[in-house]
Amino acid sequence: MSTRVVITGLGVVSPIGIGVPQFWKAALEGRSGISAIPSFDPFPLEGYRSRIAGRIVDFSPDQYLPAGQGDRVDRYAQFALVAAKEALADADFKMERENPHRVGVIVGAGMGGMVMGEREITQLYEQKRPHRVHPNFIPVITLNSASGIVAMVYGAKGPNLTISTACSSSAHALGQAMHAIRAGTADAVIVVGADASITPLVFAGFCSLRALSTKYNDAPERASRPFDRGRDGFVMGEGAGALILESLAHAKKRKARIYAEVAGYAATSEAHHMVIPREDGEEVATTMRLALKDAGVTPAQVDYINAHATSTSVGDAVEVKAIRLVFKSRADKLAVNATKSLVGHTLGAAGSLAGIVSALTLTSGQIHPTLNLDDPDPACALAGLSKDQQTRKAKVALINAFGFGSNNAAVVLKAVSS
Amino acid sequence: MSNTADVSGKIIQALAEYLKRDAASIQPTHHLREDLGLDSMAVIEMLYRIEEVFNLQIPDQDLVGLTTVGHVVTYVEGRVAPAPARSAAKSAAKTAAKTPAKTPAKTATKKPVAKPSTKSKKA
Repeated sequence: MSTRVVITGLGVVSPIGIGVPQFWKAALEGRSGISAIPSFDPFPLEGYRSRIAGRIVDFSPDQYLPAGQGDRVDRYAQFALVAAKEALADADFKMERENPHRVGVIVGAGMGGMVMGEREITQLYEQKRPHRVHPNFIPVITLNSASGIVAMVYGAKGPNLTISTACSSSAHALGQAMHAIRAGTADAVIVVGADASITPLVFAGFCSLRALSTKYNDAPERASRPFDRGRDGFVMGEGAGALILESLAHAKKRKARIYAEVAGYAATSEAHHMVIPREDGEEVATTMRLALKDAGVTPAQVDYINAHATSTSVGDAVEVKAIRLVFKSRADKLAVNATKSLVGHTLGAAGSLAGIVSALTLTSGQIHPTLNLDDPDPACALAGLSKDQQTRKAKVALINAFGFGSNNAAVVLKAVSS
Repeated sequence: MSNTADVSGKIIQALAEYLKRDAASIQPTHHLREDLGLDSMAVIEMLYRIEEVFNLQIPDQDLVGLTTVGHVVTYVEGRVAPAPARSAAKSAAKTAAKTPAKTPAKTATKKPVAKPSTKSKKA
């Protein structure tokens, strides 16, 4: 019987709210965090086919962290620090009561320190003065800067890892943290997903990939519309989600409040294409089945799916195909929603936000709306999708996260009786 | 005034270079996917090159109709010809001699520029 792993704390920085209470209230109300990008100065906005994103506006790390704590890291890592701070407080997790070498940090990040990264690159090419590259450039862009600073600030000396698998990064972070605790290498892991790359080059890159929505630049809140016939690509977002995972025994010993159990996880590759999913959904179906098997549950026992659902034409259809392969007649009896309809695609943070939403869904019985589901596409219709808030006493949740690089993850959460 | 052979020749040459095959083997009737084996990513890369060659931007919405070599040629002809409406490209081959009295073809995206929003942040 393997060690059971539970979630005891949550923290979030998102386009619909900083802090879990604000985030969850906005989510249940169906608030959109998508807005127009005012500028990509010094680059012309006309050069961008998409001009909207899930932005966190007016964020300053000093509003949430001790003065200067976020100075030497980039925006995504500042988000990570703020989310981790909330999650640790929420879990009433105090490092001074722990063996710090048994507390790990695993961060999922897709793009990392691109704000300063792009600025320095641009400056170097414009000014051609290599000796003026900032001394902090490397520490900022190294992809483990967030896991490093979280560990430093909170004194976590256990396994410290960064997983970068694009859109599935923090789903893997959740799963690998579960593995570490099951394996006994940690009692607890601070899991964070974070990304903040609404930056001139990265955003242009996604535009050139033709992956982003371009039809709703004049109506940003309508752009992220997973499963809807009018979807035309994803909307980039930024943010961070943090979850404190610990062994059930460890949580019980310190009488921690438990949100949910992290019961199962699967990591696979489609080995197919860098950006295009396999159209038949077979591989993604396999990922889901493996996660359910790891959790010891059957498809019949699943109540709720937090879908990957990026609002792309192909991706949403593939995911539903896969859901139908796995769940068959039960597919239309599940409650399903798409968090990206609210906040956009936060890349490395997506899996962690899905974990937070799923944990809150299991504890509260509330399922947030899927925005903009005005005209469900028959190619990816599921009866359990709704543009309204739903209520359901869910016991088992499945999280899907599919990343560029043919990389797939699925995580299973179970409700715990209090 | 567009030179039909130029546009068609340049596009087929770009395809030939990308696919590493003989330009003579590429026909206007060839489907980009089924006949030339381009997946959606490869189509995007190809169109990126064509944008470069002809100095234009192809909006996402225009990609949908570009399924054969001929479609791409007709589309680009319409964009580089001095006529604002893309539908004019269909008759461009027949009416290439018409003197345009219109504004030159834009090379930027045809979509109206979205004004930056001054919406306050979403709480």
